[in-house]
Amino acid sequence: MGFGKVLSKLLKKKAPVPTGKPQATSKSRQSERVSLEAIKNNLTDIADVKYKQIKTINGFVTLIYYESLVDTQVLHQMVVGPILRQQETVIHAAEKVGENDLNQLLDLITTGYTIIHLHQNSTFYALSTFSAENRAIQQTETESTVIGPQDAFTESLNTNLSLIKRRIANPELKNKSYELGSETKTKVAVLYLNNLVNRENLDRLCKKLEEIDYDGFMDISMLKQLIEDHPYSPFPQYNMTVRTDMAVQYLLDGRIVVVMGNSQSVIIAPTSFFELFVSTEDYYNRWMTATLLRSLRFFGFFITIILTPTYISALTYHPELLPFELLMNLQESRDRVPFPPVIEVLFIELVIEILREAGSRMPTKIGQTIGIVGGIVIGTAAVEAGLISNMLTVLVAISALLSFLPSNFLMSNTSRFIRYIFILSAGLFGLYGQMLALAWLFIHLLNLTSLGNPYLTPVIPRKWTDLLDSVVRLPLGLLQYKKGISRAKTKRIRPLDEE
Amino acid sequence: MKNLLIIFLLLSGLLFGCSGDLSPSSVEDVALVSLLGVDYVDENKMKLTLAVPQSASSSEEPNQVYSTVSGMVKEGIVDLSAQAEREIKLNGLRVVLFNEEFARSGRMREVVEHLYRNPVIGGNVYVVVVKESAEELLSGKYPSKSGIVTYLNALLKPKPHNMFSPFTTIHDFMYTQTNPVLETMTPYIEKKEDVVEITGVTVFKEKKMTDLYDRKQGQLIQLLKDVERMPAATIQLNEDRHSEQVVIDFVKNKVDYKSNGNIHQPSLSIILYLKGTIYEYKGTKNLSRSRDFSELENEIQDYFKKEVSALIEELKQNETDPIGFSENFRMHYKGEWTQELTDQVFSDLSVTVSMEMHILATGTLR
Amino acid sequence: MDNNKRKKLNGYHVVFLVQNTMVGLGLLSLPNKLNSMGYSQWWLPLLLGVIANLTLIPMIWLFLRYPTENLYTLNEKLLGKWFGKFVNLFLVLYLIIFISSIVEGYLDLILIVALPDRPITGPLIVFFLVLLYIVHGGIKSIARFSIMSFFLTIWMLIFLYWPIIEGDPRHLLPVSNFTLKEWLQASRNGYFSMVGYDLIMIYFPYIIHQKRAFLHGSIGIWITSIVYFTVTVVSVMYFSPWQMEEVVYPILKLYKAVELSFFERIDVMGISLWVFLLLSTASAYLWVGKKGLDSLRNNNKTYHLYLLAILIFVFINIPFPKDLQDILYDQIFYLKLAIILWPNVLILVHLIRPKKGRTVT
Repeated sequence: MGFGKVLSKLLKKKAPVPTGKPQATSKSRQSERVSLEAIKNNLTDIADVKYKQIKTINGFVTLIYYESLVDTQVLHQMVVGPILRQQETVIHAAEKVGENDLNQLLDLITTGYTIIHLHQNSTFYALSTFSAENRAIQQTETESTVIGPQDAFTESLNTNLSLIKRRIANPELKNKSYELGSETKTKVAVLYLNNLVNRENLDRLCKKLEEIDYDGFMDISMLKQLIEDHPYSPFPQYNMTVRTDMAVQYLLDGRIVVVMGNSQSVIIAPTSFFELFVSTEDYYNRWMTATLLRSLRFFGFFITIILTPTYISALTYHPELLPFELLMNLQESRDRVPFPPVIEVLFIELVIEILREAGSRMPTKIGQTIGIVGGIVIGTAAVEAGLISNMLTVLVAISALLSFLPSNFLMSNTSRFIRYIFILSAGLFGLYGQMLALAWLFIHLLNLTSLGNPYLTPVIPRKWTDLLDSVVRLPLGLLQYKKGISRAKTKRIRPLDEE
Repeated sequence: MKNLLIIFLLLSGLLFGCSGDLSPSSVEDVALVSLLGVDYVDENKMKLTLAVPQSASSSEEPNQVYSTVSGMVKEGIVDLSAQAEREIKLNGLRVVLFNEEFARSGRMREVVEHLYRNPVIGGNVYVVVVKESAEELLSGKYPSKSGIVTYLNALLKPKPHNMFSPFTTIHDFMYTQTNPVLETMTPYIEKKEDVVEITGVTVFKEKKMTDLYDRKQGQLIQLLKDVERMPAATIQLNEDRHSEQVVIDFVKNKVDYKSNGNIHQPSLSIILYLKGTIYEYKGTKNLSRSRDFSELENEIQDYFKKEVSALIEELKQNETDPIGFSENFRMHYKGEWTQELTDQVFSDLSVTVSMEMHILATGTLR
Repeated sequence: MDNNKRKKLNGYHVVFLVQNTMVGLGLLSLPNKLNSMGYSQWWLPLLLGVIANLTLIPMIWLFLRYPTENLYTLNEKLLGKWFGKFVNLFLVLYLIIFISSIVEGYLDLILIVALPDRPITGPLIVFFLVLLYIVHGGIKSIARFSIMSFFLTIWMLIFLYWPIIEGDPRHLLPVSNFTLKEWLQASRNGYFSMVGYDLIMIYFPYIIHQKRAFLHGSIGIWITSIVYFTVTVVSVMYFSPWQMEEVVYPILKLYKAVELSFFERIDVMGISLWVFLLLSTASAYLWVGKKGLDSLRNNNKTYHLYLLAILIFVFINIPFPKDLQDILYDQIFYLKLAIILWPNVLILVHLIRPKKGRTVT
């Protein structure tokens, strides 16, 4: 407790104190009356702000907008054309801006509104004309599945909302809106099904969102880290996805989905450890196939973190563990390697990390080449050169592949990090060290919470019905109950934890 | 928050440990002794021979053999460490060989007990008795085999076709040595030119090896010890008149003991249940006829009854009981059971053998 | 959040807390401890289970009358502040010695079997780091870890298949081949492995369903007894009388009988995995010790935990003469017995106390 607390206090002190409220410059703005001059004064040095003066039958009208956010064609269709023909229709459609709301008016301009300034009575109206280019809805490359809907979220908040709302046609689907980031003013929507969601979960999340104090967000993953219960843990405590069906699936379970503007992924909260291994495809496959794949992913996580460490323990401390023939082979290939097994494993694991990192930074075509070159050349050549044993190449390859099995990318990153802890502890104390590391891992997972709900369900189930849809996924007809972690309102079976 | 602290401490601890404490030896730096041979030198000395497998890349020879004369096992190992370029470790021990003289001298238990008490040695280490010299056997050349270590290791693994041998592990050895109701048995191997053969079974009387039985008797002993799977047996029936030869593959066997529980007038009825298929038959009977078939069954039953009774007679004559007949009396006896009681019961024992033989099929032969 | 509530242990937590504080180091050497009864020992764990269950009754009865008190505060309340504190101090000292004895016993074993030729310090430090991490989470965290370690280790029982195949079931007869003295000795030694359920007196106020705590505690005791029973039966079948006497850790020998083609030497893996059982036992005891320090100092400080850990660490590292240590660890049995019977004393005090005092509480 102590050290971390001090550290977090220090961090808090050091960080500048950004408040949601406008700062010094804006304070002076507030007192000003809305006038064309005031606007111009505030929007100096912005090249793409346009002041377009139009002469209509009722007098002069000035349109103020950002050229980069408003498409000229849209402007003509929606504003210029109607104003010239019949001013009233536009005025009715638009919102009137209060006399002293310069601040709000400026915000409106920066979010893509067009301000209509009527000279004859110096009033200001705002009309939404945001029409910047959006990416089309495309397939996901990071979480692709064979079966199931292929449309993924995009970077546009409205598109994302529409993708969800077209799937749940129900007035119970609510979305609360927030504006986060003191500088970026990013829009965030919190979606939930009102008839299912657990109030406590919702209140906790909303409170966390309201308390956020941060300059700006490039992606929702930043927001996720800020609202996690245990920011120091290596484990992601909320699920993140770009798959529309996954978001909907969890909404139906009574979870909360957070969508953010300019960010492709959405957050699902709360989430259990196990759900990071679940893919929506599990529900589209037959249940036996799904069970097989799920157990592969789940146990794969544990295998990937103990496979190479076990190699170290066996070779360094417990050679008697290995079957005789295997031992002979190992001795033979280890004979040429000058390092102790720990160094050998650390070396090759780091090489794999380097390959992966290099591959992901390159353009796709070069990336592939790097992969092949790295895989074949480094793999075989390192064995030939006597840097590593050939058995280890196999193990490292398997564990590298296994680390990509979890459906959640953050989880697969975590598994790679955790593996180093295991490697070091195996190098230090063999199997005993490994078991202690495993104990640490479990107790850490047991202590984690996601929105205050225990993270390690259903490994230790909150409800017995959770087990029907855990490593084993039973036929869909049996999966009628909401998960323990979502504490949903309907079909409620008391969580085991609460009683 | 506290997570960070723990992670930080763990990591720093591990890193510190890795840098400072890490001087472990890896597999290629240790000589994992697979075979240990013990030969008789004189009353206080023995000759230790170690066989260590080595990888093909480092040497032509598939294994290294070291030997030394010493008074105790540990002392010998320390001696040998001076010869070996790698650290000698007994963690991977698989077979311990004793020569016959050593076994008969009665010091075998001392050595096995030393190994049994060593926690780094596994439980499935087999104990065998070698006819002449263990050293000779270990350092011998076996051109058709891939080294003595792999060879012996494979030879002494229990498999259905060699279940006539008791496959004594060090646990079994200590168990039978220290259990008053039964005596120790071990397999008996001989080096014949460039092969090694399990030629029989040794039986101990307390600490000393006293008797040697052949494979057929070994199989009967195993049968009486209630071993489930047995190798095929060739049976010679009706030796005097028209001789018949049957090869039976035993599918399942079971033995039941019924004792009267009286240690003063001990009597034991042994019921053997055998199930088997006939592999080969040489003789005059037509096995497709049920009368001949059941006649053959009866003949085999009689044969086994006779053989078993003869075996028990021989054991009684030698006063050794590797099967543990007296266990059936111990379980009804209140008080501490001793070797004397075993001897007494075994010498007074009257045995009735009965037998149920089922031939399941006659194979593909008529 | 869950942590802020005072009552946080549900039925499952209680079952496995009771169960896991009992199974620690004791199981490793249980058949050897019961050895004085020879082959007839195999049913003794069941009898010990009955005794444990009977002694659980006064504990639960007493604390149902004081549902918000733990043993420390109750001592102070019933015996007066100073005498109560004195008893509590004694309890904390006992806990320090007890935790030292199990941790040291286990690490000695690890050093012999899995990590030969190493000093104890490194493994000990890492063990303590993990242990402190568990205790930090509080009693609920310990309970959840207990559930976890139960399921992570219980599957090891399937390895008893090999010794069962090799063993001789005729050893189980005759059932009653022992004298009274032998039986008493076996029970005394065997009861070492049964203690641990008495900690329920400390975490009782955290239990949600206190009325059903007896049921849950009994289930925990019986899970332990059945595990013990299985192990002793298999040991009796597998070993000769001499082996029962000489083999100090029969479980290791039982695991050595396992033959798997892909993994030799289950015993090394098993003894390493045992750290889970040991961590859950030691963490429960350490938490109890911390509560004791808290009550002695009348406040609740995290550094009490570190203080205890350092004391235990130092205690393990003090080079006591081996025989003195053995005597100390052996004589602790009477302390354990005293703690188990202590609630009876408290009940007596409770009954003879003037009624006025009771209504004040």
